Parts: sequence; structure tokens; C-alpha cells
Amino acid sequence: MARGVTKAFGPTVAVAGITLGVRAGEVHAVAGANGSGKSTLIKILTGVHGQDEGDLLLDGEVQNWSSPADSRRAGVGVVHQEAPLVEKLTVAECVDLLGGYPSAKQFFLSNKAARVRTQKLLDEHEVPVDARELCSSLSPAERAMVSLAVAMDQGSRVLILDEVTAALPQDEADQVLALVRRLADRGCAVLMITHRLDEIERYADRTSVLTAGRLVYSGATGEISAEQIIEHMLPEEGAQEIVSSGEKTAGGQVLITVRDLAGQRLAPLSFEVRAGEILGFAGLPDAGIDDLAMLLCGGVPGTGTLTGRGRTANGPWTPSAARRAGLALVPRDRLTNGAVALMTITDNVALPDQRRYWHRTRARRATVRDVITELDVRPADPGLSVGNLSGGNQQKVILGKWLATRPDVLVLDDPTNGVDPAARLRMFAAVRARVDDGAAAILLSSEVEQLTTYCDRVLVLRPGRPAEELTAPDNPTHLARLMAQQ
Amino acid sequence: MAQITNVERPEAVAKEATAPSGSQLGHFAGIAIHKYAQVILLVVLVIGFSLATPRFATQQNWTSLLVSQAVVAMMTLAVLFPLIVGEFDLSVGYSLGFSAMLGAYLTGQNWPVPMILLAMLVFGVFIGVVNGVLNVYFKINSFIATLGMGIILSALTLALSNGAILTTVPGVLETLGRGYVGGIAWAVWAVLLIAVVCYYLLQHTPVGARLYAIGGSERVAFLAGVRTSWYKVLAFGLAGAIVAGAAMFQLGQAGSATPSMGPDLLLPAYAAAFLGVTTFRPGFYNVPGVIVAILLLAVGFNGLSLLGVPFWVQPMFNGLALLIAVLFARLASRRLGAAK
Repeated sequence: MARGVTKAFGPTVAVAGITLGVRAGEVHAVAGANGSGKSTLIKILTGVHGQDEGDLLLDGEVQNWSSPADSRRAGVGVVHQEAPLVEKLTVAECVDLLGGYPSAKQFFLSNKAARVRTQKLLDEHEVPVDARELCSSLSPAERAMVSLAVAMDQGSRVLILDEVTAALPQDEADQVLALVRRLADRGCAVLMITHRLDEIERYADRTSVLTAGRLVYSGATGEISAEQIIEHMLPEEGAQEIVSSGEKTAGGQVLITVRDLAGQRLAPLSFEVRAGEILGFAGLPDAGIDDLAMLLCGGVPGTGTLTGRGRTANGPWTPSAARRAGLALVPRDRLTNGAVALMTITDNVALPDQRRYWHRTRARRATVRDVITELDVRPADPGLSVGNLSGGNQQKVILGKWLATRPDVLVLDDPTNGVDPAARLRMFAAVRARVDDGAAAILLSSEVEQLTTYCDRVLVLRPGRPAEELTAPDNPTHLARLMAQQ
Repeated sequence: MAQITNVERPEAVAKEATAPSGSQLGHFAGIAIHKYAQVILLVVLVIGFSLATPRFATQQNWTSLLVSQAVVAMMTLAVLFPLIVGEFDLSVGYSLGFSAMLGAYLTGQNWPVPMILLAMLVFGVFIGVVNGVLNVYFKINSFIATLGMGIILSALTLALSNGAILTTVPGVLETLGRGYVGGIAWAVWAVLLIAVVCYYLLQHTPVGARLYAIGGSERVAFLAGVRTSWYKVLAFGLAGAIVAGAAMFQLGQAGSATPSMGPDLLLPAYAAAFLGVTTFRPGFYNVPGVIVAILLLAVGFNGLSLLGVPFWVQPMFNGLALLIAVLFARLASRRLGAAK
């Protein structure tokens, strides 16, 4: 579909001579590190950016798109990670709006016709959503599926998925990808950008890997192992050391004690975190695990007590109380909870510890420089707005901001969501270094492998049952089975 | 609202910027022009008007030009604080009117002058704090809360004066409002003092950094341990305090308090604040930007009226200046973003 496409922004070449094709009925996965040109490629394929060199071909014909509307008319549909739906409308109204009101009779909109039509569309694609529901009440997976249905409704023959499953837990991601597979089997051509290698193995027919704007691998999925894909994605300079969790020792002194922590969906939970350990939490959403990190760190009000650094806070406590007890939170949603997009890297890193840097510009500069160096933030410019960084680099800044406050216990809530493998290794190396120095970390992750790789101990939460503890977990399948037991 | 940046930068930036030094130089020149466009425009206007009419570059003209802008400048500095934390304060105009009326009324009641000034200040802060509490704790949109507060204040102003003009003004305020020190009006000195304090507070203290962070993302600031509620109330309170100061000078300059005083200062103050966003620290409400914006508008008006243009040209100039500056800033930031 694309032939020798090149796009440069000023002196930076984002995409260099990429040739890539998708056949009808095929799912073609594209993997690549953050900043490898995936997003730029998508923007070229959908007519957002024009290419500097090369051609776009559809059914063998050269296309000349100057806007997203052109590509959509030609039958290229795109679904992004945060599927944009109008929150306050019902699914039917929203689908009608996005389709250009096909159900309208002259000047009057018919809610009933829209509802019937939308429901038919959803049923046709086996999307388990009621057209009368408000968009704001849909789960992320449902939103993604509705968006897919909308794209089909618009007559798309080529579907481009931009990390659609990145924010979804495994089971919901599977639901969405099963729909994608069905669409492909009906003759749709699918180009799927993803960071999850297991998804590639299970759903893609072909795999391509981008590195630094170049296509470094392309072939049938079965021919390449996950390790080889990661190898392709890593930048060439220097092999990355794999961080193992060492001997997985049970730690030293107790840093924080949590008693009967409970929230809207979380049943009372008590645990201790010891110096030198990474404690993992696993569980399906109905065990209330989604709120756990926020509850711990005071982002949403809960009950129970939190003891740390000689202080005890009774719930509901505020984030500043949690900080005084030694906690720091690297949240799931980068830009809503993690960083101020409009502010610079420096201002973001310095935010939690303003008082420490009052009239100490040099100390602040040194801290920011350390963060940038340790986590390899790119571009390494402290004066750049965080909103201008790629997602993975934003996440590095957020992690660095909290590492710089020297917390006793770092709470990581799905910290590598949408972050490329090389950056993940670096982030975990930084966390492990602090933990070995006598701090501790709590890890929540939608990826079971991550828990077994990095955690010394995992607590498995299940609704209506006491948490089960796994010491030195090493078998992801076993852990996943435990999570699913009701 | 006026946070003008470019977030839609492609991933390309994430890779190392390997720009040759030549284009980097051009890049910095671009930033300089972008950041200081208004300063340059101000200088151009001053030179232009000086050449066009001999009456412009006289001491007398400059003195009156600066004095006439002192109260508006204070009002602009006042609205800066709520704007920085992402809120509006529409009550400042009415609040000024009420404070001035309160001062005149208490003078008529033979209160001692220090008590009068204290009462004005306390009331100003009180109004600001109530605005903040309504917004933060009762979760009323600040636009609505402060509008309601403003209307209530206008009623109180009428009640206090019984609809009449009060000419009882403390002598100290008349001296301050009309007197000069070192050839510069007291009012202008006061603006400078307030501006310097605000600048220091906003740019060089943890308080300022936290206020900006709240404006950028209240949730992120909250999770970083900032007591966001307290700081938002503080922002409204500071606005109230500065408005009270502005009311003292307004009362002194006018020599009387009229029930209709104040509301007409609201829009010029906001226009200057928005205009200021485009200068010095583009995308952020900032003190030097606001000062340059006020000077720019004042010089433009003053020069044009000396040249004898029709009376309706002034608001036209102000409106166009605001729109063009914001448009220019947006274009410049987009171009810079693309070039990087």
C-alpha cells in the first residue's frame, strides 16, 4: 500500500523509504519503539501528513490524499487508542453523527431510525453494546469496538489500528482483537500498530518492525520469535542488559503498613511492604484492582489506615498525606494524572518538591539532568514541554519526577503502558536500583509476565475471597490461572 | 483558554535533534521574535508617534499616560491569579466599585483613615475568599460564582450610597491618587511595586510554581501533593487584595465614589491579561507580558488620539491588537513546532 514513503520534519527524518503492504483479509502488525516513526506512518497513510517521497497505492492505483477526509472516502478507516466518541450522546446518536446522519429524513433527525440502524450495525459485528447507552458509560474496550463498527459503517476496506489495545487489560483486548480478526476474515485489510508482542503472535498474519524510521523486518508472523522482534526494535548502539529481579529475597524492615484499605469496589485489604522488595498486585477488574493504586496514594477517597515513616493516616487521606508516609504514585494515565503537558520537563520534575528547590536553581538543574540521563529521556532538553514528548518519554519524566523525591515505596500503576521494550528495561532498571538501595516498589500491571519478571512477591486479589500470596512467582500461566479463579 | 502551545508535534522530535547549528540559530531568532514581538511593536509605536507628533514625547504626556493606566494595570495583575489557576474572576470590577464606595461611605461616617483603608483591604480579601470557597468547596463554576458575587456587590454599592455620588474621600488617598514622587505618580510606583512582588511570587517561589501547575492540570498537581483547594482560594484572595488596592487609587484619583464605578474596568483588564500571554513566557499568564501589553494599548490609544483620529478608533485598536497578537502567537508557535 505504501511504496518508498519518506517524510522529514525539518532536519529530522521520521520515516525513511518504507514500503509496506496489506492484503484484503490479512492482519498486518507493525511494531516499533517509541519514536520509531509508527505514528508518522499512520498520519501519512491516512492523509494527515503528505509524504515527501514515495507513493501511496490502493488497489494498485496511486492515491493523492491531502486530508483525512480524502483517505476516508477512499475506504481507509482509522481507529485510535482513545477512540473519540461524544460522551454525552447515546451510542446511536454518536454513530449517526460520525456517519453523517444517514438516518435523517430531510431536515429531521429520527432517533428511532438511528437507534435501529445502529443496533443493526452493532449486532452485525457482534459488538455487545446497546445503542441506547450513553457513550460515557462504555468501557474502553466497548468504545474501541464501537469505533471499529463505525469505521466499517463508513465503508472502510482498509482498517488502521493505532495501539487500540494499549490501554486495555488482556481479556478486553482479546475481545477487541477477536472482532478485528472477524473483520479481516470478511475481507478487510487490517494494519495494526501494537506494543504487545503476544498480540502479534496470536492475531497477526504478517509482522513488520520499524526502527528509527526504517523498516528493519517484514515477514510472516510464525517466522519470527518475540525475542527476535524485541532485538529488531532495540537501537543498535550497545546491547541492553536485561534486568532480572535477582535472587528475589524477602526484604528487610517494614516501610509501610496498610490496614483494611477499601474503596468502592475493593474489599478490605491489609498488607506490608518491606525494604528491598517489589510487591506485585494481580487481579481481574472485578476484584477492584483498578482503583488500588489511587486509593493507596490518596487520589480517590477510601477507608482504612496507612502507616509509614512513623505517621499513621486514617482514610480518606490526601495525596500529600500519602507522600508524607513515603508513597509516590506513577499513575496509569500519563497526561490526566501524571504530568502537566504544557509545562517543561524541569517544571514537571520539580513540582512535588518545590520547597526543596526554592532559590536553589542549580540543585534543580542537577536533579533534572540526572533524571534525563538515568532514564534516557529524548530529546534531552529540560526546557521542552512534556506534551511535546512521545508517550514513552513522558512516562520516563513522570517516573523520574517521583524517583527524584526519594520515596520509600514507589507505586507503579501499569507504568509501561504504551512504552517500547527498550524504554521499559531502562525504567525497571532505575526502579530496581532504588529498591536495592533500601526502598521498595508496588507494581500493578495488566501484563502478567511483567509481574512474574519483576516482582519478589505477588498478591492475587479475587472478589469475595482473601488475597492469595505468591512468593517469587515465575510462572505467568500459573498466575493468570490464579487471577481467573472465582 | 489562552494557553497557546503546539502539542501536535510528530514523533519525529522524540529522536535526537540533529539540527545543524545554522538552522538552530534561525530557530532561536524565531523564538526571540515570537517572544518579544510586542516589545518590538511597542518600541516601533513609541518612535513612530514621537516622529509624527511633537506632543507625544513630552514629559507631561507620558506622565498622564502612565497615571491613566495605573488602575487598569492593578486590575490586570489582580485577574492574573485566578487566570493562572484556570479560573475567572468576573467580580473584580464590581468589587472595585464597592470597595471605593465603602471607603467614601466610612469617611462620611468619620472613621479614622487607617481603619478605612484596613476595612477596604479586608473586604477585598473577604470577597476574593468567598469567590474561592464558592468555586472550590461548593464546586460552582468560577464564571458563574464570581458573576453572581459581582451582581450582589453592585447591589450593595447602591445600598451603601443610596444611588448617590459620595465625595467624602480620605485625604491620604487624594494625595496618593494625585501626587508625584520623583516626577512619577504614586499610583505608578504602586503598580511597579505590586508587579515586582507578583513577579517574584509567581516566578521565583514554590507558591508560584504550584499555581501554574494547578492551571496546567489540577489533578496532576493534587496527586503531586499540592493542596490545590487552598491555593485556589489563595489565588482569589490575592485578586481581592489587589483589587482593594486599585480601589484606593481609583477613589483618590476620582475624588469621589460613583455607584457605576468599576465594571467598565473589567474588560480592559482581561484584554490586557490575554494579550500578555503572548509575550515573554508564551502560553502562560505572566507579569512582564501583562505590563508590556498595558503599555502597548496605552501608547497606541494615546498616540492615535494625539494624531486626532476619531474617538471610536481606540476600542477598535484595543480589540484588533488583542486578536492580532493571539493569532500571531498561534501561527508562530505552529511554525516553530513544525521546524523543530
